[in-house]
Amino acid sequence: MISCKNLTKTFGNKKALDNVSFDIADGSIYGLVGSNGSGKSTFLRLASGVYMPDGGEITVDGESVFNNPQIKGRVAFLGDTPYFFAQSSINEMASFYSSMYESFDYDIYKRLIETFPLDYKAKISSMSKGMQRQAALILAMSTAPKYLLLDEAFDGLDVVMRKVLKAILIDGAEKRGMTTVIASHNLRELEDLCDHVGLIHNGNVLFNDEIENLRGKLHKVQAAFEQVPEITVFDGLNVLKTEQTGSILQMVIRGDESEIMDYINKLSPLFAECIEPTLEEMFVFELEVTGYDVSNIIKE
Amino acid sequence: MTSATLSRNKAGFNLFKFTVRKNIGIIILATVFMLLICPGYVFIEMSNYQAGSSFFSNPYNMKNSIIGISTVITVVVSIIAVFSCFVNFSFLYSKKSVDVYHALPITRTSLLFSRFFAAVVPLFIPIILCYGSLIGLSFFDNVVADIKSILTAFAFSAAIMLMSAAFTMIFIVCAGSVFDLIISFVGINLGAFLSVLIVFSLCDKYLIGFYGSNESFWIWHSSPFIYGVAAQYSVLYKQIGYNSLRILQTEPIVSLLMILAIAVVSVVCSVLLYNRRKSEKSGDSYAYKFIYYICSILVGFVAAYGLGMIFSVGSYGVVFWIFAVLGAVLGTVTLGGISDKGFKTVKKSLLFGAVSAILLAATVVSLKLDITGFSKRIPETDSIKEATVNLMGDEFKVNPKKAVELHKFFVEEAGKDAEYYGQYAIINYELEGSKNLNRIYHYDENDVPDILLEIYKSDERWEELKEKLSELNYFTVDFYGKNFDDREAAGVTLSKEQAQLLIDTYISDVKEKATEDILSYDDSLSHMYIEGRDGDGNDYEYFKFTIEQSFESTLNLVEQFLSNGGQSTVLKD
Repeated sequence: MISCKNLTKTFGNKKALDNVSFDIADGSIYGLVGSNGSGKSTFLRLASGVYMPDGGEITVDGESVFNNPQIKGRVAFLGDTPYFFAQSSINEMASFYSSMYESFDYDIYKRLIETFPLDYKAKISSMSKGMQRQAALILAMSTAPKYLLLDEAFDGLDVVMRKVLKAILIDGAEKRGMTTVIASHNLRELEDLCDHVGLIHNGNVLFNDEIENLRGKLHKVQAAFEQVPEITVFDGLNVLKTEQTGSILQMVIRGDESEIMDYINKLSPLFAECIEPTLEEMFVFELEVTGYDVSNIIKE
Repeated sequence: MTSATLSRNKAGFNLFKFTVRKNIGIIILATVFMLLICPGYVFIEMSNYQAGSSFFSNPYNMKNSIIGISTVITVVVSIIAVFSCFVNFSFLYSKKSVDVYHALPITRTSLLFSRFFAAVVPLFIPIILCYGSLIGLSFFDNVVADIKSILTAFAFSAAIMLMSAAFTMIFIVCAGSVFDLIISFVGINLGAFLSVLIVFSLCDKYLIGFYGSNESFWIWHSSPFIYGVAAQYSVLYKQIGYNSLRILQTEPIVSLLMILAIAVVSVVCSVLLYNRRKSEKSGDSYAYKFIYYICSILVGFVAAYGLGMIFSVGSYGVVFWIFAVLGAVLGTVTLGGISDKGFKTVKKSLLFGAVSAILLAATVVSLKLDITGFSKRIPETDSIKEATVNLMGDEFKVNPKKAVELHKFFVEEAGKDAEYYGQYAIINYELEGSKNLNRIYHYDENDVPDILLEIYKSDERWEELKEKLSELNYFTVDFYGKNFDDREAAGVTLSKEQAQLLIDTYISDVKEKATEDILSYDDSLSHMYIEGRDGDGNDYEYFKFTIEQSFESTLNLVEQFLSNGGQSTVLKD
């Protein structure tokens, strides 16, 4: 488990992470969402032992990561811009990583090079940005990490490769219990992949939960009435947001789906349905409740 | 050893091997380049000697030239080592690469050692090849060599290369970008050297009794690089028997241990700094600001003195101080501008400029006030092992009591007139505990102190001279001055007995007839220079004698020698 307690990281006068505490469970695929400069990459660098915390602590499997080779051997970190040694090929980089990571698995490497159509003997520097990212992913995955930390993992990948990557990550979680943390500013990318999600803004984690929990709690209800009732009629429900367009009411309600629908049906609507909100909508609803200006936090 | 430790060591060793493979290009280039120097250049030099085209027609004397060869090898391999460290740690200056290296399952200490040793260990190959080839060449006919000197030079070259790389690591770890690494590395090393020169220039000006020979110690110790080369130079001169040419008097083994100690301390400092180095500082100017502060103050100090001297034309008046302040501020603001790629921290730069100017002013004030009591320090007679006095270049032993008496005279009387630069006397004490104390004082040639003449005539002074002469066999004497029958200069070769006769006569004249004029620059004075050599012709001594017009016996004897044909004629006993 990755666990941080009162974690603080400061760059000059700016607090990139401010007293952050949360856990990432083993075997999960955790989406860390936030706008640029929110502190996502800083968290990943702290979790991979690249950065030294300025306050609090971050532990992996109960041990501090910084300058701890045993723990770092279980973590693979892929930054937003991959780095390779000058003039090196993917095979040469694999040879290097295999000498550094005891867990490096050539079987995984072979499987991945069959999946990704790259020239493994060519200089990586001559490859496109997307190909370089694929190369970095192959190398990171080949270290058979217990924890895989990806910063903007899908940047530069085409649609097909994004699907392949998602499949690989899910496979890793299912077969090896690998924990993946993906930092991204794009919620939609994470929607069909992550089972946990956290929202980070200005160095604070505003939100951290399982997606299933979120889905179970929040509901978007559309109902049409001959005569729209007073809003106070819905006081018996935990309504987060209400919008009225003519005789149609759109509401975001927290609670059990059947209880909500029973309550609304008692008001004899012409039509009523419960729609599952998108991940982005769930975030928006949750954050609006807490008073954050969502437009500044979640940007595509 | 636990399995975890084994694993860590293995990762470190693997990184070492990987980095060495990456460094193959540098290693090959360094090897080729150094082999061109040695044996390449040495071989050409030897061919010239053997072909008789050189100035000397002797066999090639590798014993003497080892100093020059080894110094070049040391300097070149040290520069390559510094460059190699720069290259191997350039990952520290890019956020992309630092992410990869610092995420590797290896401790920072292991990472530093792996890369450091990968940068320097392969450089032992060219050093071994260079010195191995010298040993090979020393077995050639017509080559005079000393294997011990070659091995000593090898040990020093290797140690200095290691030390240079280790010392550079401190700068590498403290910098945040390659550009600022170069600025701080050059700025601090050159700045320290120039600052020492500036301080000694000020000492010379303001510190009564300050003797220039004190400078060299600090100059040679102003940077590990300079110290290393000076130590090697001195040790090798000692080994080939030219003690007088040694820069540092330290014993060879002490010098070597000192160099290795600097290397160890530098590596330890680098490791400590690296373990606390913040990865996020990559790409910034400096990971540790203190290195910039030191650099800034040194640059300000040098710039202050430089600009002050340029615009005041060498005088230390108001103009000097106005331009010194301006120079300090310009120096630090320019450095700050370069480091920040702008003038965001101009206030801090101005502060450093002010600190530099204040430091310069404080140096001058403290020297003028002699706050350390340097000028008034006179050793206890009991603590003096030996005392010598140098009067206008003529150095001789004196009774310690007399030396102290002379010293007191200068401190209490002549020292008050420190601005006067006329004739000089240097008092040199060798004290208990291998310490030395040197002072130089100037005196008015129109008012030569009696005590000086008394010392000049003393028996100790002449006994020592006669003792030295008795160990020599071949003498060449040159005369300069109007006393010699209107000839401005003349020379003659003398036998040992003739030289002794000449010296005895001269001493007798000095004791009976010398006046205070002998310690001045009087136009009526003539000079006699005697160069004596031992039986092998290798060791020689050189003496200067001043002759007054009243030294009739000496002048007659000289005239007698000269009238017999100068150098071509040697008088028979």
